Amino acid sequence: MRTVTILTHSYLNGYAEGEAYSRPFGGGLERYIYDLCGVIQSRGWRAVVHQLSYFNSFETTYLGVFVRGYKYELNDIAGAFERMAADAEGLVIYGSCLWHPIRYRAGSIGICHGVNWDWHDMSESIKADVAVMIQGAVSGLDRIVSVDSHFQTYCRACCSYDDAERLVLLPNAVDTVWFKPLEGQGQGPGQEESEVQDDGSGEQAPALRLLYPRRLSYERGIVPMMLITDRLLRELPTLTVEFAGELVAGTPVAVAFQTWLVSHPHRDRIVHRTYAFNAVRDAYQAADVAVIPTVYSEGTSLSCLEAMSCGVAVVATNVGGLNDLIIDGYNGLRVPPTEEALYRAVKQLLVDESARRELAMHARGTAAAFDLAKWQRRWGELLEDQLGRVGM
Amino acid sequence: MNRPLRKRTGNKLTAMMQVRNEADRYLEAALADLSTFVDEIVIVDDASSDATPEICRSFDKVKRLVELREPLFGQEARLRYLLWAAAIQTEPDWLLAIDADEFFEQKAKTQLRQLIDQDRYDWVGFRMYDFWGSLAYYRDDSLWQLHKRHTMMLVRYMPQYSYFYPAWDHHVPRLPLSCAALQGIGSELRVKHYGWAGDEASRRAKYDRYMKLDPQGQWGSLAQYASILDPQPNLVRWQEDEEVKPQT
Amino acid sequence: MIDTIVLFPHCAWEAFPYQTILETAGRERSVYVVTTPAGLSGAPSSLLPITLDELHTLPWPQTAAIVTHPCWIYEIAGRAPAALIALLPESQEFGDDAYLRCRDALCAAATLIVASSEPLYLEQWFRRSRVFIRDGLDLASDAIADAAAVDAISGKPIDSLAKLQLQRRQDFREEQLKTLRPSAMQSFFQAVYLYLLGKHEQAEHWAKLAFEQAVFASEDTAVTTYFRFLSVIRLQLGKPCDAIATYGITAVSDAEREAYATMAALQEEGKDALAAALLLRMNEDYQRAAESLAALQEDDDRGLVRSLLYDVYSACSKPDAALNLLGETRRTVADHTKLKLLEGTALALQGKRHEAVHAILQAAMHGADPLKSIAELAAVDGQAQRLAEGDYA
Repeated sequence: MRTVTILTHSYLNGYAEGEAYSRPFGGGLERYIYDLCGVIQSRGWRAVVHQLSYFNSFETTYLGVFVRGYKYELNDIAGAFERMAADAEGLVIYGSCLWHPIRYRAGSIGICHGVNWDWHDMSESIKADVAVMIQGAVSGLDRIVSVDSHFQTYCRACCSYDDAERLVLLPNAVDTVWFKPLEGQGQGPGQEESEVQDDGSGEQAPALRLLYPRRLSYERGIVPMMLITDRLLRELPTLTVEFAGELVAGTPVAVAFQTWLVSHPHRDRIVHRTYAFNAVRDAYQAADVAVIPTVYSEGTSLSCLEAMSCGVAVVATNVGGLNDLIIDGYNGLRVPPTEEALYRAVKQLLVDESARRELAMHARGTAAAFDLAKWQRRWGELLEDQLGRVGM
Repeated sequence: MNRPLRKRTGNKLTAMMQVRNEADRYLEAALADLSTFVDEIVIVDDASSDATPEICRSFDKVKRLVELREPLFGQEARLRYLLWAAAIQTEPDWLLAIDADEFFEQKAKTQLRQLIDQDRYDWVGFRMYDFWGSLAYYRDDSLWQLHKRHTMMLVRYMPQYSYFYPAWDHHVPRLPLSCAALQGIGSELRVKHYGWAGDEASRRAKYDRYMKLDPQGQWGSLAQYASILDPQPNLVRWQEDEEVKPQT
Repeated sequence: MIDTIVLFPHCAWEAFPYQTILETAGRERSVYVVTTPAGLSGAPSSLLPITLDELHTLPWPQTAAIVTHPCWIYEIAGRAPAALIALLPESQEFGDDAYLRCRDALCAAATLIVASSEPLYLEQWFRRSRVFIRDGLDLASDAIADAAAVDAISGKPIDSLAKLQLQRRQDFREEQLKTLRPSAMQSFFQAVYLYLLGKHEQAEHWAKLAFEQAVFASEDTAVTTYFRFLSVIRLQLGKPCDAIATYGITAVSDAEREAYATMAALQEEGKDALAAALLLRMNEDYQRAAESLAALQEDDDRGLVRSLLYDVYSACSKPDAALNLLGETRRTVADHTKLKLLEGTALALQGKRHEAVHAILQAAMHGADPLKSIAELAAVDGQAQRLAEGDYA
């Protein structure tokens, strides 16, 4: 049986000791691997995942996929990937960490999930080092799948290689069958008969819900999100803001968020919860506006695609692959990653229902072009092709 | 206009020296040598009974000569302080504390200006070599390693600073104790000390004098005194460096 | 008229070192202690426990807060007690950087401070007035500190008591030093006392002595600590040229050398008062520096006065005053971040926690580093919470 082994730095949740590695960590990368395993299995091939394990090495089977966890040293990720590759059967896919100095096995595929060194203030020397690593990846891998046009442009502009087809643009996808607007809602806001709330003025104002549908981290824009939340909650008495994502406990971001929440004058209108993979649909369907305020490091945001697919009006920043998804004013609002720009765009949509509806409708339409079936087919073809190329 | 605290150019370099009966040793050569690279010289003569004062007076650069009637030998602190006080009255920028039997190596004379024409540090130490029995060899063994460290000889004079010597009778440092508390550097430039360069008889005489003054080794080390008489000291030949031409 | 006292302690009542102050001041007043009933075991029954949540029920305009641990600062911030008495036991005087920031904030906000050791006592005298010490060295002097605390609560002026204690301590030390050989540090402290008392000639003598002793003992900081102090003494003796040269001798770091160059240049230009202010600031005599600078604000063409005053207020934990000085000029990213952090500090000390976090988050738009400041607030909160629950570990 043909085998495809995916190497990754993260899949099943190993962040908390005592977790029985029973579920994937709730991030986009892990979902990608989950979906890719599905493609491999649907073709009748065997899918294997080798991942780094923060605590101990382990072996388990998750939904028919054999998963092995490897212990590693923080300063030798490349070495760990080389060990994972040495043990790998069949076609090898390097699913992450292409910016590490890995010696790739010949005939392998790499996946780049986006440019993650696009923080303007990173030092010149770091950026120069990354350039060397990426060139190494471009030279050492047979094919590289890029999930967004930005990494593809980066390689064409900054790297040197002979085969123009080495870089394959294969944007991320969304299951438009699952992620869809709420039944009977058309493509508009979450509730047909909006819950009305008494905003204290005696008038019945519609309840509004703003959603931040991703991990709470610095690069994903948790800081500007908290800042605009402060202003919006004060100005819109019927607004609730939901943070739907995981926090890594004990980190400065986590402590900042908890402290912010605890002292917030409107904490009764702030919700923080985490969802399993697909259950997050509930959050999208309940939202009037979704915010993707990425500050740096974004491939094709799965959250953005899911929100669009659920017919939610999206406000996104002009970072990384978000630029591939949102056309400003057509299927969402796209702004620079500043507090003021985000605040204005979100406020605009929260107070203008018809503008929301229009953007949401086009968003749902756009999502169709990124449907999961298309992604599965393209991956299947690519794998078939590669297996043929390497004689498996 | 205040006197600038630290000058980067135009520093007045004044040598200060205490002398006693140096007439038939190296005094003349020392003063001639100093005259080629310092601006002024201040001397305290500790009641010499020979032609030492006359020799001093014969050099133009000797701007002050303090002649003591009664010797202060045995009251080192007072002697040091007297020399210091005389020197600072001439308003120097830098002071070079040097003895009548000490000579800088050739290349040091041109480099000294660079060392003092800056505003970052306030003293300089040099490596001092004890020449032994001749002007060609210096001694280097376990008790004779002065050249392995730096001896502070050159200091910037700043009138607002507190300069003081310890109130001892012997082995008082040549410069005030407080100089070392400031920022300073150790230079690799070398100084030749000819005090032990004479014949065996003169070294023996010195030994006798030390043992008479300090029989218990209270001020100095008895082992060191004894080593003066070593029949086979380890001697190293001196190499004068090529003169480094100053950059134009 | 203060009719209520609330104590924010660092330990249980049994070990509390200021019981007499509480008992005296507590007469005819309601006294609460932020602790559990267990924390008050052994205390007079008139002392009542109170929780953090209940603090808002107190009549703050008529309440005096007595605080013996710096981590209470944010619980008191914004409540505007009629008097804030900071009594710092020796164990609570020093700690890591975050701790010192709390301590400085408490000391800046307090009506009066009672230190337990000379280093803190003298350091605070350079920043503000109404500073006292209570260290068991001399009973009469300690009694002055106790009386001052009680008087402050009664609304009586206490500046002269502070001066009185300072003089008493200096006399006491002088007597002691006659019989002992002082160390460099002891001579130095004597110089500081005399400086604070305005006896500058004697101060110069002791400072020189301290320097000599430090040199003999080969202490590393002989020049930068002991000798440097002579610069401000000479300034007060009316010898500004010598004063600046004295400072210049001790300038080692780039910042110090630059400051010296500026002082010397200002003096050349005839701006003696400004040169003097800079000298005071470089010697950390913030009190006198602020006084001279305040008088110079009218004539500040290069903004140097404002920039110095900003430094002084920032160093003394007076973020409100520092912020007032900042104009509307275009700022670099680094300036903007600093400004937002300063705003955050000022707001936190006004008890406006939410606004403080908002300001710090704005600073964090340019980089994640400022988030540590939020973590610091949270840590102090945590400490206050533990203290309130009687956890004094």
